[in-house]
Amino acid sequence: MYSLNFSSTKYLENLIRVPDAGATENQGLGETSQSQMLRSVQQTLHQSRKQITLRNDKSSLEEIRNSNSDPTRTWWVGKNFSPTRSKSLDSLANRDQGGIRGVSLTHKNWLDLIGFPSLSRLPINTTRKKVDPVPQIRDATVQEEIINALTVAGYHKIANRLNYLYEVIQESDDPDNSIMNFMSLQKLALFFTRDDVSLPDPDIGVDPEGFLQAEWHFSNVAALMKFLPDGKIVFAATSTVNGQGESQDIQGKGPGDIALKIVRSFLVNPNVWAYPILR
Amino acid sequence: MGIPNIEIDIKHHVARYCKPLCVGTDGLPLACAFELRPERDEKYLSVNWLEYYNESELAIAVDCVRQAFLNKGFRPARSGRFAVLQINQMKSVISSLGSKPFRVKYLPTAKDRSHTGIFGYTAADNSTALKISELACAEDMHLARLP
Repeated sequence: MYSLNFSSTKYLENLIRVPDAGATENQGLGETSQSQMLRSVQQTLHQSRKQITLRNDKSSLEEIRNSNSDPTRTWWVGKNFSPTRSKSLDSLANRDQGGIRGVSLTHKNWLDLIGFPSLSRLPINTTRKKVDPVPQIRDATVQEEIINALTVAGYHKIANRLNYLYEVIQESDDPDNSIMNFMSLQKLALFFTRDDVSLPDPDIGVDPEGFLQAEWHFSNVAALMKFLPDGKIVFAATSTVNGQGESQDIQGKGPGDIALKIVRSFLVNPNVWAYPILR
Repeated sequence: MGIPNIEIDIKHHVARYCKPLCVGTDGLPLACAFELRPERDEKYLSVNWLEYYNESELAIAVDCVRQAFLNKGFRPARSGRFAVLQINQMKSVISSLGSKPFRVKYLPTAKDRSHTGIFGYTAADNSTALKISELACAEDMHLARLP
């Protein structure tokens, strides 16, 4: 029922454990549960509008406890943080980098990337998709159909934001505001309904060309994904390391898998330890 | 009439109009508010130099920018915002990430006397736009149109 043997998600084990029926301190949670818990903590912290940086100390533990609106559930942060670093740099260096253009890609960045669980082992989001929205999104001919499909499938935050943007465009008399590229919207919707996408819900904007852009802005991490009509994703991410002034930055363009892997490595970065915080 | 050759102090501030489509749900700017338009081959980010107005209060200077927008026939959206940023902070970001040398140039027009250009990055420099958007906090954001 519970296993600690998911080396790829070991850092999550150390980040958050949730006492649960049948689980002891020495037992971890399965990948799906961990993902859900992490997501839930993120949402709770975000909703509480508190500035909290998760760290390995008691004060952070108290902050997390205090921020939790559900008194029956307790969050805590593990003491022995040691992210698993699997694979070798060589295997990555020999791979096609898929059009990634590193602006300031350090050795540590690569370590973060390859230390992250491979896509095939990532948790499956089981909290949504009572109705599979993909066919409706694929067959849609107008924006409203896509937004409606997302709503019905439970992607409420994304759907609400898209609906807002759509209304702004409809009501706008600014000629520069008149476009929401349909193909870009479709690619965004298909991306966030993928089973292997376990990212926090993004904020969404529309770039000057009408392309949909998902963005995440946390305390010392920010990332964006711009959905191009051809299915490629332009991505960029930045993080401040350990509260120091130095930052790590990356940007590039590539297929969804690569963009996902890179952006997620920044958003769920064991060396940054920052989760949704309002700027 | 040529453009006056005025050097802008990097300690000064500029206001960038952020369309509603580029203002996040938290009221802060998204990176797309600072992206350049490739289809227009934009070379710089259009901003308004606040110290130009020689006002002691920020709110009054921002109001002057609102008026400048109206003067040039652009009515900012109700849910749009002006993000006020210090030039020096933008310089720091652009100098470290932008693909071109940072430069701030006063580019007034007849109807927009405080219009200024921030040079140093291109439409492809998404991480630069992302980092500039990170500079703004809640107190830097001002309604683009007063109720």
